[in-house]
Amino acid sequence: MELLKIFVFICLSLTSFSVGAQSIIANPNVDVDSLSQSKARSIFLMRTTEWNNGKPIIVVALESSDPLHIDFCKNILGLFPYQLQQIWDRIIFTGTGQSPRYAGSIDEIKKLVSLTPGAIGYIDREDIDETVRLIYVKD
Amino acid sequence: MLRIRVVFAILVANMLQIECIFASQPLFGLQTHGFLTQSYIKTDSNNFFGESAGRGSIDFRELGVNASIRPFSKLTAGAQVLYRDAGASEDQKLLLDFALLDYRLLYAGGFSSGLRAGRIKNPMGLYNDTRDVAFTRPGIILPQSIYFDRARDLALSYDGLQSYSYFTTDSYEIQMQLALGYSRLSTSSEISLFSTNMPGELKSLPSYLAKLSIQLFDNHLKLSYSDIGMYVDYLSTPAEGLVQPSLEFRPKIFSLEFNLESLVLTGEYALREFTFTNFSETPGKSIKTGESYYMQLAYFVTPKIKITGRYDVTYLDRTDRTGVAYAESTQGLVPAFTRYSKDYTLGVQWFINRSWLVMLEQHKVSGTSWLPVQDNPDSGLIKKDWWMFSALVSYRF
Repeated sequence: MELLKIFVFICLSLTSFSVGAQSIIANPNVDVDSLSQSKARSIFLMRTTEWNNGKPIIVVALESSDPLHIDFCKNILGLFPYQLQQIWDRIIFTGTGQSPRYAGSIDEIKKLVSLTPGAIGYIDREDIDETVRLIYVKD
Repeated sequence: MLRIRVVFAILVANMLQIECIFASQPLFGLQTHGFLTQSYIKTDSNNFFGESAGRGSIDFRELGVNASIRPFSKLTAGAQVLYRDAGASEDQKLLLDFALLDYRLLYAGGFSSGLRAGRIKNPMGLYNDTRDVAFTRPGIILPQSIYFDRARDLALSYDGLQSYSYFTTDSYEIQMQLALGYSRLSTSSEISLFSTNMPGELKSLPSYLAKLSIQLFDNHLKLSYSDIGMYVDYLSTPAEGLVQPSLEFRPKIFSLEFNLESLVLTGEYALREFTFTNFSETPGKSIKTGESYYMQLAYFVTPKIKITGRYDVTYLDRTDRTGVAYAESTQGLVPAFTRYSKDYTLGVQWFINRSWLVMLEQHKVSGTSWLPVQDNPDSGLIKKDWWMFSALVSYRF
């Protein structure tokens, strides 16, 4: 089973939009295998707030200063962390949306995503396990 | 007073992190956020937000508490109460800052759009819709050329509708907003528009705002254009002898932001056209266009410490940038330097953690076009060249 996982990860990293070690993860009941980069961006910027089945998307994020968050912002979203914070703050303080949930560590983000229906987050590829669903970002 | 105590109690409860009973599974996705900001302002002459020219003013204080729920996937509701103290220029103190419903109409590919209704923050320029939240400002005082605090309630929030849409692709995002509604006016609006309290009353008429923003991800560039049409009737007293006087305020704002990892270059330019109709014995229009702009450079010395430099220019009338023609029209009673301002600002922002922020800032100003009239009742004491030092601490949750 372990070898199969390694094989799958190698294949996915060869076929997906390879931008480093961050991967998008989602709650296991989210029925999505892959997202385009623009869709991923649209979700984390709170432009798209529902999955295709109409269920709410709950964004989970690490703290702004976390290196994984910084890499994720730059590589997947094409923004610097302070820009993303600006976008989220504007939404929170104009009542036009809600804040993401914050996780203090890799373990916590994995736990929050695995327990919260409709949740989406990000993690180091090597930390993915069966409690969360891997979503790979395609070109 | 009771309302203020309630607001304070909520803020203190959050600061002590008393666990909300809905912590694990919030009812309807309830979230609460807020902020508490206290500033100190010292000027060498000319009062700004209190008696700053003496020992300094601590009369600049901003508190906000908001709550939002998401009862259905497509529907969000949010409201915020704001308490603001800003010397004599703030007459409202406690107000309902926003209260709205947001309904997502559709998603199709990279396109998403929705509708908002209620009391909605005015999204003009880069910073207006969150101007009272210190964490979202580039400094303690917003660039006054664009975000006149003297005229803030004209730009605060409006009661009405807003349609919004996003088109997000791999390399860019376009956002469009169209707002229709009524501005919220108060006594300070009269002072902003006329420099004095008028005997009659202002009445909002249906007004609009259109905003187009483009974010180019690969080029790290954000551009936006805000076009506003604010229409107001003046209900004059018989003694004034005016026939159906009204005003139009039509600002156009161009905004640019260039973002690098540690450097942010920002600039905004506004043309502010005022049309006063039937405000003198002979009916007719009087049009005056103000012009303002600022350029700002911010540098992240570390991810938590930012230094910001800004040059901010305001002309109340672009055909009379030195104010000399205006001074002559008042027979020298009103000095020319009241018609422009040039402000050099240097500031530092320290983002201690997600919840705490400290800012320090020094302004060197020539001209008093944005000086609050209410803080300076004795116009004889107003000086042309002045400086302002300010310190701020803010907490958010």
